[in-house]
Amino acid sequence: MPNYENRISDLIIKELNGELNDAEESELETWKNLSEKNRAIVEEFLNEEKLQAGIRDMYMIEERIWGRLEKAIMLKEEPVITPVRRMRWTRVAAAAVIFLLVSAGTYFYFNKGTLQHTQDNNPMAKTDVAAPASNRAMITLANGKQILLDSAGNGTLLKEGNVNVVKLADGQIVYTGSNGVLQYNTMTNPRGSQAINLTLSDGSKVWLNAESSLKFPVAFVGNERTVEITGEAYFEVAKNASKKFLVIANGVTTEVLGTHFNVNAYADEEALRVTLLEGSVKVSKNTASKIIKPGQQTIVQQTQNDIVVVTVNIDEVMAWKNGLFSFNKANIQTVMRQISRWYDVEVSYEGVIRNRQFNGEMERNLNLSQVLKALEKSKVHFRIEGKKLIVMP
Amino acid sequence: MLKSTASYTESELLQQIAAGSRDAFEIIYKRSFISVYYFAKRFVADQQAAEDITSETFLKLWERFSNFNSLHGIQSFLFTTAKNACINYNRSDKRADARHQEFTYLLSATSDDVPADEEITGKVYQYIYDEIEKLPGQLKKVFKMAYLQGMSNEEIALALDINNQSVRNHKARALKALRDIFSDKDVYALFLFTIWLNSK
Repeated sequence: MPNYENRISDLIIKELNGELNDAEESELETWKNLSEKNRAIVEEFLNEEKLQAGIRDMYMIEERIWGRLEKAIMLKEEPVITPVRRMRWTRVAAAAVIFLLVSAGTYFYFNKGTLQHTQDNNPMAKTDVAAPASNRAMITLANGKQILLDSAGNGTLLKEGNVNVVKLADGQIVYTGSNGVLQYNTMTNPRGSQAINLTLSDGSKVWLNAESSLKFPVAFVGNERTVEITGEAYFEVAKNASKKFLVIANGVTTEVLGTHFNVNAYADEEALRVTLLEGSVKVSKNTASKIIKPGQQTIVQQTQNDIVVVTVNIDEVMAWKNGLFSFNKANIQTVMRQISRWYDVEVSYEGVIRNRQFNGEMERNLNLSQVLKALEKSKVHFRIEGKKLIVMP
Repeated sequence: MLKSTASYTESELLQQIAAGSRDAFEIIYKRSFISVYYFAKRFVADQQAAEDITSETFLKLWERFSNFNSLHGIQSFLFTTAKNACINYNRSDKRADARHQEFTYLLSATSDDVPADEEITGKVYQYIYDEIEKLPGQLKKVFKMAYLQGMSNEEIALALDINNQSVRNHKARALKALRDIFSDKDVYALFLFTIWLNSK
């Protein structure tokens, strides 16, 4: 009789719950008496000692299976710092967790002072690439004219009617005033460039990462404030209850009233991520939308309409703005995409690179060779040839 | 110890799976590891081997976890993977006795011909496990410490930093909660818990 096992197990469960009616009780009894094997199965649950022993065994089996599984997963992913991974998957006392976190951090953190005195005789690096020393962004005006920001002097960059654009001493670009006309400028930050800080005419601040662009109105006329980005930008939107602020990137719209959030919309990443630091935002793509709270992130895959909400570590997401690289269980491709944008190098892979995981934080102002030296601890090797970075097993 | 099963709706769970969430993986694991283990035990004689096969099967699930878009698909995957692992194990285990050689042959035909007694046991244990895991926080801890680890009231009080009376209260509440699950009318369950209570 096929599938009788479902029937019998249901009967036993009903017996445990005291829900068996007479007909069912005799059905179970009949089955039990068919063979010694059947009798043993029923007895295991209805005999109190056997049940107790059975439940104990089950939990021990569970621990063993889980233990083996956990170990196998850890071995497969070969983390740089084993203590960090073990903390996530097994029981660890709170004090030990904090200690491991601290030691993991110091393991990876490079002290800027000591490094400058170290002679790095890495025979593999034929040349080295320095971190970008400044930003090389430019603004494209509505009429197509381009202003290169690194060659422009401080002070007023542009004055048209009531609109004023100034460059401050620290490199910030500030837009003020309005001519009552809706006109778009585009700020483009290339690869190998530091983040640029732009203040829009409503007081909203935007930080643009390398290989990113922001298309924005010179002045916010009308009842909406809409900007478009490519790449990655962090926003601190000025509160204006009567004018929604909308960020459009790759078909995904993030709608805010006044708040702090990060949008990561690089075309070569597999998903677009909006992370909220403060306030409230609504993220939409076509007919799907989600409202998220601070500490949450929406993930939208490039080719899909679903919006998944997860909780993230804000420091990791915002590391770029704070001058750091921060990797948490990142694979080699994710790490290389960030390296390639920051140092403006072309990455290629030679040979079969095994799946590695990268964890840790590093300052972004290091030379490329210094960063690679740290990454090599994950058993991956590199070669720099001019502007090319080759990854090898 | 695994995290307790959060109450996700099916669509929330599927979303977490698509995102490759470890929490979702743990939930799926807890819901099905017993069935997979007993399924494997149908075909391999050795308990150790059944445990290994179960671990391997879930590892394979983890490796492609975010590819699944239905719970049914995950179940099919688990049992197909476990079955193949059992076939491979029996083939390579030269000491496999005649009974299991026969099972291997039958496996390649149809598994309906192989007795499913272990699966009955598996389903009932999965039910009991799920019910225990549903016990709320502190109750569950006290129950497991007393019942599974055989700790005394004093030891539990120390471990959880609560006083002895609190432990007794917790045990009484755990007992009541489980009694509601395994209803009052059940003589055996009562007997079981009475023995446990008296022994403390």
